[in-house]
Amino acid sequence: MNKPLLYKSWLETRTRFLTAVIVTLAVCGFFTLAHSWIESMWHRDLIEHPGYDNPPWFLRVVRDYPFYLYHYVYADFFQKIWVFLAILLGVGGLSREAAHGSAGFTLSLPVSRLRLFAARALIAVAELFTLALLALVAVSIGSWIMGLPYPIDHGVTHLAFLFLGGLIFLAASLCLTEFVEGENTPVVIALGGVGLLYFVMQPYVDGAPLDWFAMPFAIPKLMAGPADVTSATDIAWLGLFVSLTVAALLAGIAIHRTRTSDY
Amino acid sequence: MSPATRMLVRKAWLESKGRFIAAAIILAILGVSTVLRAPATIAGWERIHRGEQMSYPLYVWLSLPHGFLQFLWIIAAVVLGLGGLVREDATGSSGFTLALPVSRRQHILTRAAVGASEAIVLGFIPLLIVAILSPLIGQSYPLSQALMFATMFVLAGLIFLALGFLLSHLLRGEYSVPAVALAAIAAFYIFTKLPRFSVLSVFDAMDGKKVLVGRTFFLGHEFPVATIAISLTLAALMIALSVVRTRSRDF
Amino acid sequence: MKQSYAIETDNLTKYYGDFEAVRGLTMRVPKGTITGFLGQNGAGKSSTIRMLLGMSRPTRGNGRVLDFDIADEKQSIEMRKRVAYVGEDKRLYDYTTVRQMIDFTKAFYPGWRAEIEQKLLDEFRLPTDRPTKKLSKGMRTQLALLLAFARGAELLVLDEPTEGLDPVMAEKVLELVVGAAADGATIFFSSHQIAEVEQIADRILLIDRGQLVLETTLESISTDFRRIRGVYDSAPKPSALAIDGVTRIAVDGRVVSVMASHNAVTIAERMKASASAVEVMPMTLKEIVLESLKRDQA
Repeated sequence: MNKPLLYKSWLETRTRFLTAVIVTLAVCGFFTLAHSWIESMWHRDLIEHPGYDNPPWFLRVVRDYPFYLYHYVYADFFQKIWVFLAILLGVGGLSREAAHGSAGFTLSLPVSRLRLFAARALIAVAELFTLALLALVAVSIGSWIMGLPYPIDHGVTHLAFLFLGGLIFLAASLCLTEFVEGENTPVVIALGGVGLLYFVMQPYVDGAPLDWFAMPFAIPKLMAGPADVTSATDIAWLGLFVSLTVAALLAGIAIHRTRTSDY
Repeated sequence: MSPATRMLVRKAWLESKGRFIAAAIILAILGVSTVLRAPATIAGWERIHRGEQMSYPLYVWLSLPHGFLQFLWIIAAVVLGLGGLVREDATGSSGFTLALPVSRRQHILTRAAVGASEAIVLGFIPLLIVAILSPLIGQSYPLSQALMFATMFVLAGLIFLALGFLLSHLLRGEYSVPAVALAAIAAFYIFTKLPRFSVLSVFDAMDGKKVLVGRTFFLGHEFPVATIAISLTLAALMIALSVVRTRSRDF
Repeated sequence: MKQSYAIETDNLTKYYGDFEAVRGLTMRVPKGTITGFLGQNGAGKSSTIRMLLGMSRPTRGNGRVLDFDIADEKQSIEMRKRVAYVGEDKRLYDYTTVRQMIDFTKAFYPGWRAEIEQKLLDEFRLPTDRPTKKLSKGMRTQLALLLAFARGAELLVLDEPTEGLDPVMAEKVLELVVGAAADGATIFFSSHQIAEVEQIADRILLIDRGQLVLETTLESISTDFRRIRGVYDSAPKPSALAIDGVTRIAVDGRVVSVMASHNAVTIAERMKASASAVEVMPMTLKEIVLESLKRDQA
């Protein structure tokens, strides 16, 4: 891989990435360092509002710290933020350069369009993986500071599911920017689509059994991974395989579009 | 409206039309999905909470003002605030715009007005769709409630449009702005979870959590006026700051 | 009668951080003239134009355009009602069509000349329903020029107006410029095409490293500027030739070359007193510009 191309892709995305790092560390740090404060609020709520309609996961989150982290970081709040960041890191590319007038320069370089795309994709994947890793580091260090037990195998398993299961969103973003013109319209469409997906999937994330028609869209559930990580945990290999295959397909479509477009 | 002002409005519309239409379609799909999903979701909820019933207004409230409408609309509002003279400078057309016999303030305020109008329209779409389509599934949702929720929602939420707007006058990168906006919104969300500052929670003001009438999940005569007023004031301040920043900027 | 100026600057200075882009620029552009604003890349031309049009603020000094203060926002808006600007970039709004760009611009100028708009649309053969982002560079330039000329402006500020145009179109644009001047407009344009400047300009302002190094008329170039070359038996002292009118002296062995902005006859006589041969030659604008820039570098 051409180092200058990788460097170019890094320069293009570094501001977004560094902002994403700050967000990741802040959010994950918050959920660990503020755990005791959040816990005290819940206990107060349980006493003051005993009849309140709590979601099915609530009681377990209150008493089980690894599950609390699983829910807030990998299954819900931070997962959504990570997906948002995946989309932001994936937009750009030759379509954007064409709009800004530098595509001619880039395309006149003695490198194939495939290489140009690959450099961009590789940097985005590396950045996304770094964010997932930073989340794990943040919760691990935060838990250690708070004196709360967080098994590392839980963290590693959830990191793997978050990253591998969620690559499909990066691929969708890479693909969408090759088809949709405009600086911000691809972002709106991608985020809107993701929002609708979460909307459809929310009841299942909250614990409802997965209906057959929702299975193809169960990416959020896949990314969350298993709630409990033991030696007997059933890994959703098929789900991961399908998700990665779709991600590869989307990337393939994006590559084809890049190679055949006029700029 | 003078021809020049009309043209500035038109320019702002043309510039943001793609984003607005994309967001409108997505929010319309959200509205339709909310209605169509209702029977299955309510049944599922009642299965889990044995012996309890989920009312339709509760379902609508959880799905929209308290749910995904907040998430999607806030993203749309931030993105609608993007663009402006700093962006034009990065793309090369600021020379043309700045050479027009129009003050920078007028450029900015026109764009802010168009963005706010678009954001307001977007906020109404899903709730109106719910009110109109609910009979299809044998339910009803009062149009008056849809209008009241939507009004409260957009007024409280305009601060997010203003945030995107301000950031787009401070930062040059087109994707840096949504990234920084996300960071700011996430930080604000967490900040307003602190008990001392929960009164400032724009999110609670958007969904009317603290002013719902009993267990009806409808709005009555109370509105989170204080929070909305603070939110609108801050939004106006951010727009004013955008003006001040741009007026003193060299292009 | 006091001459009125379209552009006047007094000690205009602009710093970008520590970098002084424009250094104490004092210049006058009389109304009704065609003035070429020349300089190398990075000399400070665009920085100067941006200050004149209110896009950036001067660090020091002041300026007036059509008698409006450039530093006063309200006056700047009034000024821009009477000025047409075509930037070096010529980027327009990507999300508009040609027709939409024209309609948009027209709305700001009550004195819009519809007949010029139509004439140029026909001459340039611009497709009105085409998105501006799909225009070639040359067509973008043509559209930008149409938007400028049709405004009926008193002052046209043009930055590289013929860049990207084929020779036929470039010639048409120069005719338009001359036509606008004949209608009473003042033209202030920058260009790297010396031949074009020679063809249409009345006056020249040459800027280098943010400072004015030459201000003259085209007439003066043909009547006054001379290169005087003298061959000496032994190399003379340059100070012996420091008389009024001498702007540059270059000594190359026994050959002395003098650039004179005026007083060439007297200078030649002085040189004949000690040189074995003296030759007096007219200078082109290009030679004067190159020599002036060398002088500043020397």
